[in-house]
Amino acid sequence: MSDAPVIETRNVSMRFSEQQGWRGLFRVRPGKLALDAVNLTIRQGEVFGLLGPNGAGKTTLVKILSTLLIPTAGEARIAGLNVVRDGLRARRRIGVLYGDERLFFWRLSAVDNLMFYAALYGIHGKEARRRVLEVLDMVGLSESAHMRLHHYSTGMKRRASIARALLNDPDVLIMDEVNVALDPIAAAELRELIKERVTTGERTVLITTNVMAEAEFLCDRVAFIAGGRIQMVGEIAHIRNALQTNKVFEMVVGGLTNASIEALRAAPGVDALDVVPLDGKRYRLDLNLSSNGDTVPMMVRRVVETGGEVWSCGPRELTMDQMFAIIVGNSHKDAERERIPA
Amino acid sequence: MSVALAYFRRDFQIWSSYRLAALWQLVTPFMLIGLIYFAGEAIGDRSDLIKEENGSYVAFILVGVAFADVLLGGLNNLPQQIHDQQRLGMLEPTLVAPIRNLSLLTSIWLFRFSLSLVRMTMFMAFGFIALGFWHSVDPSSVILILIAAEITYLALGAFSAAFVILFKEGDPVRLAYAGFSTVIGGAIFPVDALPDWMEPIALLIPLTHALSGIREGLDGGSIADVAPQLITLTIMAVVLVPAALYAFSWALQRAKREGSLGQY
Ligand SMILES: Nc1ncnc2c1ncn2[C@@H]1O[C@H](COP(=O)(O)OP(=O)(O)OP(=O)(O)O)[C@@H](O)[C@H]1O
Ligand SMILES: [Mg+2]
Repeated sequence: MSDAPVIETRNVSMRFSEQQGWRGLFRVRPGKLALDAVNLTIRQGEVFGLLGPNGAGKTTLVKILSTLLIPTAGEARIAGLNVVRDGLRARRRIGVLYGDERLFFWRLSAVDNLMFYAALYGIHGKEARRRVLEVLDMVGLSESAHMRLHHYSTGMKRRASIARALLNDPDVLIMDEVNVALDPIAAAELRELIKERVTTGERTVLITTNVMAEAEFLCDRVAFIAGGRIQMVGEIAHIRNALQTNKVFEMVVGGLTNASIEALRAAPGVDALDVVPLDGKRYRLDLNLSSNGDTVPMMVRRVVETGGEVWSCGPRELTMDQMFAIIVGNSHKDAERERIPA
Repeated sequence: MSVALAYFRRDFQIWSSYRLAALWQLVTPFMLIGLIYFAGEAIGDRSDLIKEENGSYVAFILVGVAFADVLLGGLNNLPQQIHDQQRLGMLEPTLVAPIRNLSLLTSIWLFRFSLSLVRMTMFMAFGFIALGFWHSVDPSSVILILIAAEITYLALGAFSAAFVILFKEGDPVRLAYAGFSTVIGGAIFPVDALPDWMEPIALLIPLTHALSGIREGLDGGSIADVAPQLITLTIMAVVLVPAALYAFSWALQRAKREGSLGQY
């Protein structure tokens, strides 16, 4: 990993115009602000996650970086090339993949489809064929290389899209919602594949997602975006630690009386305790501990000493939604933060 | 060039994968030829209006239909293809690849153009072989006129494609223009047969000059003989090509600014 920024945005804003086509010519009514002064610096070799809920502006940013949109304000660079002024050269350096794209002709085989795209990147003839088979092998599609895409599953099509994005051996790979519409097993497989074969070496990778596990598995650093604004940037673990001042634990218990639960609630180090009935006999206790896990052994002992049973006990990490709620909530109101975890 | 070949190859693969439709497209020209032949025979000799091939209306309309198809294809295919690609969602994935606008336009035009050349050859071969027309042809003047006129129509097609990118709908100007051209550009009946006031309008249409030059060349006219038409078409091309390329790239930029590129 080197320090040279490979993807860089400076105060990038995007305001879509309300009226498009005919009407837009006569009257420009400014529409929605989809990106609001986005600043990001992604270094060479980094795998960077852009996390955000639906409508946060992820795809908009990806399209600006891949020259399909021109920002209303600000400047974006790929490998030092301004994506607006130097679009053609920038495009040579990027591979892009959109989760919902229909970029293939289903009546043609993966090889034929990819041969076409290879030519658009100036790769021809034998060299193209070699490269196409190579990328198909990378994504594990060698066996079905000559099959019509009609017969591909969604997961296979997605892998074919990854193969396409890799054709020009891009310095910068941008993947927008690569896992969308995949079943959990296919998604996990794809994640493995990306980790092992795609995000390697000097390549800089930008991944957008709203699946936290995916970001954690793949990314060195992440940025949270909501409402078109970058809310926080850093390593996930750091962000989580920064947010998680109260450690949250889940303990499934049985055989406790109300009085003993109240005693637990009053124990030192317990900020809050929620009781969620499970199956009549058992409860889930959501414990909000003030410092860290130190209080946990004491809590377990207390349950057992008051005649209860501990079925399971473990930390509950903040989910992406919770982290979001905190991050986004923070930017409005600091007080929100106390109530949200759990 | 190689990008154009890649498009050609892919378009051919898709076209030929629909076997029945492909077959049908190759058969329909024969039916049209039959129709033209019988209609032309019924009308008979119009040497009062038609000077080539001893006033044969069959020869006249064969040339008109065959070349109008090739030329107006240059105008119609680009907006049509851009619209189809938007609908298929393929425009954006191709636009993230490093290709130039000119290359994109010629590439999406090439295959349809080749198909229309095949149809044209069928029409002309029928006239040449079966009916004995055009045996004194000067191919060089026909080809030069065809090239100049096709480039002119491609430029008009690029304008129309710019229109589709911006407004998402079939460009009414083009639709009117294409139909209009065939009628008054001398494809189906001679420009001389038009009312006097329409003739100046006909002169603004590239097809008029193209067909008149091509007919002259087919009748043995040398390059010097067709020079007026050739010069007119070249001037049209020289003016229209840069303007059309500018319009097309302007439309793309605008669509990228307003976020309407992938919409249709
Ligand atoms: N072409 C467009 N024209 C107008 N508004 C748009 C356009 N594309 C996106 N928007 C708006 O901009 C905002 C950001 O959209 P964007 O697609 O970037 O979100 P996202 O983070 O990718 O969401 P998702 O997770 O749903 O893909 C949304 O409110 C959306 O409605
Ligand atoms: Mg999106």
